Amino acid sequence: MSIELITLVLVIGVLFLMAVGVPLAFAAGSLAIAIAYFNYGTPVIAIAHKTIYGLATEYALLSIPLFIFMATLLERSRIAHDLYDSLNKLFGRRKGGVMTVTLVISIFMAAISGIIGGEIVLLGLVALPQMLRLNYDKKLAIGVICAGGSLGTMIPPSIVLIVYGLTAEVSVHKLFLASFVPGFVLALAYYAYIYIRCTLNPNLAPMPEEVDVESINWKDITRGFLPFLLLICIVFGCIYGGVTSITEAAGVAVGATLMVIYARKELCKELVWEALKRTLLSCGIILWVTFGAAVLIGIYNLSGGQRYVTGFIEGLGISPFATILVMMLVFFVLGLFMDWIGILLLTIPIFVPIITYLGYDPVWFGVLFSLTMQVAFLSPPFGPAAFYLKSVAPPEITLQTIYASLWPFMLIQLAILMFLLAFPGIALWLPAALS
Amino acid sequence: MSSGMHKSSIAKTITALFSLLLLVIVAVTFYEVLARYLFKMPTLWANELALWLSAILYVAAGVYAMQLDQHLRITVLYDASPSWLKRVFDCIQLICVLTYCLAVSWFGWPSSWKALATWERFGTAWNPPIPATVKPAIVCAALIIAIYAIINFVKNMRGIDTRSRAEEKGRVD
Repeated sequence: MSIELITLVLVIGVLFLMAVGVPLAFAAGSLAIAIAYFNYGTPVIAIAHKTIYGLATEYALLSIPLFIFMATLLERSRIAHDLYDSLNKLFGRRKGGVMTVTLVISIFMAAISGIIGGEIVLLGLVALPQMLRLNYDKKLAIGVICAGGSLGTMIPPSIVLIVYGLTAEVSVHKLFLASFVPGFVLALAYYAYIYIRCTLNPNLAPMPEEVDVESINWKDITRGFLPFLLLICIVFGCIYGGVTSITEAAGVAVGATLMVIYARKELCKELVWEALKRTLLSCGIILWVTFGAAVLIGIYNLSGGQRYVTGFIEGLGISPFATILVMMLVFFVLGLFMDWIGILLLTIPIFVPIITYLGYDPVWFGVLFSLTMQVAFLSPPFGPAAFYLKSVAPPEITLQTIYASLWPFMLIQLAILMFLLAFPGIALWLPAALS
Repeated sequence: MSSGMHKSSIAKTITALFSLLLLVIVAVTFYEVLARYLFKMPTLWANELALWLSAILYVAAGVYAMQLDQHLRITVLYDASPSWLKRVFDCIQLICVLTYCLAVSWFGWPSSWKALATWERFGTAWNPPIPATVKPAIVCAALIIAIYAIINFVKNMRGIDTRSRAEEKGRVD
């Protein structure tokens, strides 16, 4: 088969199989087997097993289940609720108080967890009812929860960046350093947006009439703030301090999380067992998609796919910058209906060599990717953030309402993306300064 | 039916027990970091043990996700389809899973058997038998996933049958 035909079969095949509901792991894997068989015959099929074995024995991959385990443990503890209560006492009486609290807690949680979902569910359960009760603007409230809750994959430690680092073969350390500033800029931009909207129209976030807000006490600090600060210090200290590898940092962080939960007298068999089972499931989903996509990309590149795509893009005769824009467009379009992991595993192995060939920094491209995925989390029709919130929101909040609330935040994300495209230094100065 | 349900939940629990490896991995990693920085005595075995256990964990995790039928997929079109079309989609899905998993195990078997028979080691300082155990484990997991694909397929077929019968009945009433 010619490489053009293989490319066509793969693209149409993956899209078709996914559309009819075949799990991505097996859609990618079976296509790879078919291509290998028709193109080379049976001996090459052994690559599939070899690829899986190679990935399974990759030490850096281990940070993924560990960070997921940490996040699921924290979700099952009441620690985030306690932090919420404490922050509420601090900021509750200010302009747009609960929204500020929501955003601050999103940043806190993003800094110790690398996945989305848990945060949005938690904020949807805790913050949304309070904001609705206080007659906050519904759309603004929903937007803050979905946008803030998605920050987990932008602010380190982020599973998206870990998988990107492994796929693109760039240092996860550097990626974490590079995404640090853009992640916080994004969070600040959300805050600025809320602040401006609430200043222009105070009715969007009315002050609570009843004075039920007590002042903060010592117990709040020890139960809410301290454990979070401790975990953030451990995660960031281990990662940025360069003391340990990312995987070891994740392992230490899980150990510390278990100790914090124990100190809070919440540690019990059920909590750990539920978190373990949930982690095993997430791990199975993420890793088997990784295996399947890696087998597919392996076979494709064996057939000269990489050279073909590079040649194709060169043949378009567009500037390197336009090439990047085209890639961003591909991410957005795929992001409309695919999960980040599928997009990453199927496009990044092809795109990154082109990026390097064009003279760009793959670390910068990783941060760009991570930002586009922030948009993908919110974008209809299948923005996962909206589905997570819908699963816990009161019934009168429909998916339509949620999506209608998200576009200002998507515009903010796009604006930051433009900045990052125009000024790569925003992402790259920190890794450069520290190396 | 109820005994069948019971059996399947036992199988799930057995797979879920593999998640306990995570606790061991955490303990080992924690110990390694402490030993290295507090006692200045890094171990040879900690990271390699963690790596070994994690490989087993990933393999079991794939089986677990299949037992729960939770592998990442897009179901919008599937859910909106009439039941005859769902059957077609289920068949395509079964063919895909079987193609991939059976290919992985059939063509992975020779090298796995060799690794197991020669008790191939990892070739590192502590030298655990990672290839000798993980390679065959992948073959086994792929086979088990293929078996669960068939089980889920049969369950789905029955489910679609009863559901569409119920729908027809509802229409008649």
